[in-house]
Amino acid sequence: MTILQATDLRKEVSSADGTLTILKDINLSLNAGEAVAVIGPSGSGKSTLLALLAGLDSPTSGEIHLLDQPLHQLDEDGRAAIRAAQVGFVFQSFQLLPGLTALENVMLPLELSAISDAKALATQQLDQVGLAARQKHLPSQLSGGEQQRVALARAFVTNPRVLFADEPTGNLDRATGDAVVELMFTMRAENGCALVLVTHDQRLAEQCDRVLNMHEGQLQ
Amino acid sequence: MSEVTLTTSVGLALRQLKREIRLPEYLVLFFALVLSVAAVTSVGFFANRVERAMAAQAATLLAADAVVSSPQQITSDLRDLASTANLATADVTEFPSVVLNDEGETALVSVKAVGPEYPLRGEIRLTDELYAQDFAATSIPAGNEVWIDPRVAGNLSIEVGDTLALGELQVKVTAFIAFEPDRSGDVFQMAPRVMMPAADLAASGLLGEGSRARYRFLVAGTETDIDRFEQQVESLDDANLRYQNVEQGRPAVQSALVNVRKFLGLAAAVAVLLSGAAVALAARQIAERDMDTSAVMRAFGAQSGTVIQMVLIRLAAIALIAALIGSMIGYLAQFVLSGLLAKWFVTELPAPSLLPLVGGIASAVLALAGFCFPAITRAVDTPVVRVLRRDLPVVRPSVKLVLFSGLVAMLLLLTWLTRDITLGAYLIAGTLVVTGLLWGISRLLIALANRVQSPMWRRALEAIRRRPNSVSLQVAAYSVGLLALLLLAIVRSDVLNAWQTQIPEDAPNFFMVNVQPQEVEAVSQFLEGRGISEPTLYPMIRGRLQSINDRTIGEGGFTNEQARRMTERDFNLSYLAQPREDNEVVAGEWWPADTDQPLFSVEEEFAEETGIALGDTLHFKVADKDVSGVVSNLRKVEWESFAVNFFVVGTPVALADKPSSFVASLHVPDNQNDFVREVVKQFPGVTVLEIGSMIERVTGILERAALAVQYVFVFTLVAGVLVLIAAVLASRRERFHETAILRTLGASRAYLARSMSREFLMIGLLAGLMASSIAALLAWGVVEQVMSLEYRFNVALWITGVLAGVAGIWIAGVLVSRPVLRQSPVSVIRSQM
Ligand SMILES: Nc1ncnc2c1ncn2[C@@H]1O[C@H](COP(=O)(O)OP(=O)(O)OP(=O)(O)O)[C@@H](O)[C@H]1O
Ligand SMILES: [Mg+2]
Repeated sequence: MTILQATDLRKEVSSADGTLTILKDINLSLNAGEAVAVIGPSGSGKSTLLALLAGLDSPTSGEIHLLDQPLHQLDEDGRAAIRAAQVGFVFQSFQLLPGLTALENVMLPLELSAISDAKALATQQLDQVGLAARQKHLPSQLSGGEQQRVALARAFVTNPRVLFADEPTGNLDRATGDAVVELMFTMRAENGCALVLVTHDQRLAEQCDRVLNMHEGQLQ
Repeated sequence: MSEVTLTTSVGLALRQLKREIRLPEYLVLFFALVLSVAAVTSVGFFANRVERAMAAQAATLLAADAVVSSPQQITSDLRDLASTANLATADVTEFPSVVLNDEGETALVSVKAVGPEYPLRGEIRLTDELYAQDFAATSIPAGNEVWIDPRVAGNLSIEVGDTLALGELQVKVTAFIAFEPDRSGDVFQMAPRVMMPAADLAASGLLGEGSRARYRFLVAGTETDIDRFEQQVESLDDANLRYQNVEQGRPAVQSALVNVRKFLGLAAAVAVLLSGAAVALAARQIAERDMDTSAVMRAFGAQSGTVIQMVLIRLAAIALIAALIGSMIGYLAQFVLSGLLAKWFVTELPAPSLLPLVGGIASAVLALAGFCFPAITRAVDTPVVRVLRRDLPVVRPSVKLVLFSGLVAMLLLLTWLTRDITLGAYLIAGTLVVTGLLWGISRLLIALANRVQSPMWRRALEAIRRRPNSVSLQVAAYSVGLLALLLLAIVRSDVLNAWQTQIPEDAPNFFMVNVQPQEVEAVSQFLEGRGISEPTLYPMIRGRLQSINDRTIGEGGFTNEQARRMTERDFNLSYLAQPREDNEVVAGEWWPADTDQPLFSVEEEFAEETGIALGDTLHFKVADKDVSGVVSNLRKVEWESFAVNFFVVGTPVALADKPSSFVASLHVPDNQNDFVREVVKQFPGVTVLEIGSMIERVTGILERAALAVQYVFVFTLVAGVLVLIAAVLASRRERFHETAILRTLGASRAYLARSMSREFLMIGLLAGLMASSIAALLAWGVVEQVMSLEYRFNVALWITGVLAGVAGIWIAGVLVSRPVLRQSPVSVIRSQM
């Protein structure tokens, strides 16, 4: 079953010296539970594609259907409603809210999608990433690897059907990065969600079902 | 899928706030709000207490439904009007005098002679012993008896049953006055009261020609009767008569308090304005932070409504807590204010009501709303993609919009604070202009600093040059606060000093009034016998200006306001043959001593204000007779000398045969303690007024009022410091980055600390120099130009100002920037990614 379908995507931005085409002629589809890696040189448009697929940004032209919803026809709040509870994110720069503790950060998506029993679920999830003892710590009190593990707990806590990850190991040293990746794949295996993973790392890409190559705004 | 409930977002918002409140930008926002609430409420609570004290007194203020008062005896015409209007009436006569106890000790008192029907409204309350339980009086004092203020008793160690000398009478004290309904409706302190029956007045001999008595005719009746009576009194068209009903009965002196309240309001307003600037700066940084948070939350599916809701909840919580704490501080601070001004009040002030709290909370909400509203509306405009690309610009609300909505909020607030929309607008315009000016000057100086080539100061200078706008803002904001405070300090000390030093050593310290013509000889001899130098007794005659040349004032296009006022009441004239040494003739010539012409000499400034010129003919009415004469010269008078002086002096021919009394100003040496006692003993009808203590009291009141205003300006300075911190914080992120790069390039922590410290020293010096110098300049303007006093540059205060500038900015800057140095370079660079 297809849960993500992109057709003829094109993204342009206007800059000082005319219109810049970042993405063009993008067609892809993703089945439920499938893992796809997007690799390519820096500046090739990987993050931009991820943003479009997750509905964080809207395309200049083309269609995106996520979980049977036409993202390209929805406004920002409409897209947010789809993301809530069904989409998870892991970012290169962790993006934990600095004012919330580890536990509260994990609770956030539950609360935003009005799921009851947020605290119990979040505690359980933190336990799963091995940070049960760090519940009350603020992001600033955690190491990069620990922060990314909290981010993983946050991403999986709502049992999403798709997970988007943009270079989740980019800010980590190799050993820590490997541990985080391993944890991510384990959790995905349990949860069974689809994955779109943007990475530079060939080894990492190979763990996915499919690898897409991005070059100058086009998939090859 | 269900919407996020309000409880959830409140919970989330508060949880976030609980931690974020410790962030410096939140602290600045919080303290700025606390400060403006404290400034608003301290003044609010104080004003509320004073207003309530006045309101409580208004009811029984007059001891009647209406009062007609006059410097002359109440005429039978007036009495007839009252009786045809079916009104109850009572007579009250008030005048200053002196009483003596058996030991011959004296006290200056305010005598009130009352008719048997007094009071028509309210009651007199008495006590038998000092501080005993009081009871209502059932009559007025009997013949040869008086009731006295406990303060007289204290001064003269008098008990009930003792006797006092009052004019030519020996009177027995039969009670102490605990409360009298119409204490001139005066919350201000005045001479203590002695109440006597009106029937004894004649025998006391206290009411000769020229006594400073005020006759009050109290009336009471139904509202329609009172209204009719009022119209009839008005139709008498007698300018000596002053009609007051309960509403108008507020004492004139209240306007002084209203002015002080206005000043306090202004001082608070400046603090509020500056706090507003700090709020604006902090809110901007908070909004920037919120944009990241908002992007993450929306990536995880939050609706824009939820995001805005959470921002609002957080701000509302901050406003509420700040309002509560600020009000508490304001409540405590008002005790200091009322303590400073307590001497003005006879009675205890009532406890404040909670009404000013509303104002406090409103001011916090308004300030926040004004400066944060534009940022809130943009909180959801940041592209969500920012979670992936941190380098995307955040969407900032336009500075113009923030400024506009902030200023509108401030205008509302100031208008409410000062109860005056023009004043509010002027204040905002003034603050903007001064701040702009300071900003401009510091921009200029920074540009000049480009030329300085000192290797030691190079980095510090560079740092300043790199942020000319931010630095200028810091300088301007802090200087405004400091400037206000310094200006007030200079004006307060200089004006009071100038005034006090202009009073010469041997300045008159006593006035002697109400000396009857037949007593002049004896009084002169008495004074000479006591070695009191050159006492001149000047004749004083009550007259009223009728017209200048042949134009009746108020008609025929002659519309001088001052002249019109002069025609509405009696004023004091005098006559003199020889010119006075202390009056300089500035136009025309003094008359020959033996002139047989009716001529006038007019005081220069009075002549100008009234529109009287040399050669004009003045027509006076003196004791029902017309007196006319040509103005033959204009005089210059030094009013500050406290000598007796008159606006208009005539030739003896013109005035000597009119009913008069004599006055003198004297310098009585300090060692003549028995002076007042002897005067009262030998000349019971003569009133001696000590002006030495009066000068002291006026100075004291001025000083305290200025101190109170200055005290409120402390809020202003603190607000200035907050703006400063907010401005330093605004540049901190940038500093973090810069320092990290310099550290990685090998700069030592000590080196960076030193150059940062130098940077703030320079900024501080700039702010201090500007604030101090501009304050001195403004003070010169106020003292020399507005008050016509001699301005002396106060070096100590100037230096204090400069030092305060340096210290304030240096401390704030170094403290706020210290974390920048403590951070390890790696973590700084990482946090920038
Ligand atoms: N809003 C924008 N305005 C201008 N240029 C943009 C914008 N968004 C993306 N770009 C440009 O589009 C190109 C692709 O950016 P993108 O972030 O998608 O690359 P990437 O493949 O993720 O690179 P990296 O591996 O370095 O993260 C880059 O050259 C980038 O500068
Ligand atoms: Mg990228």
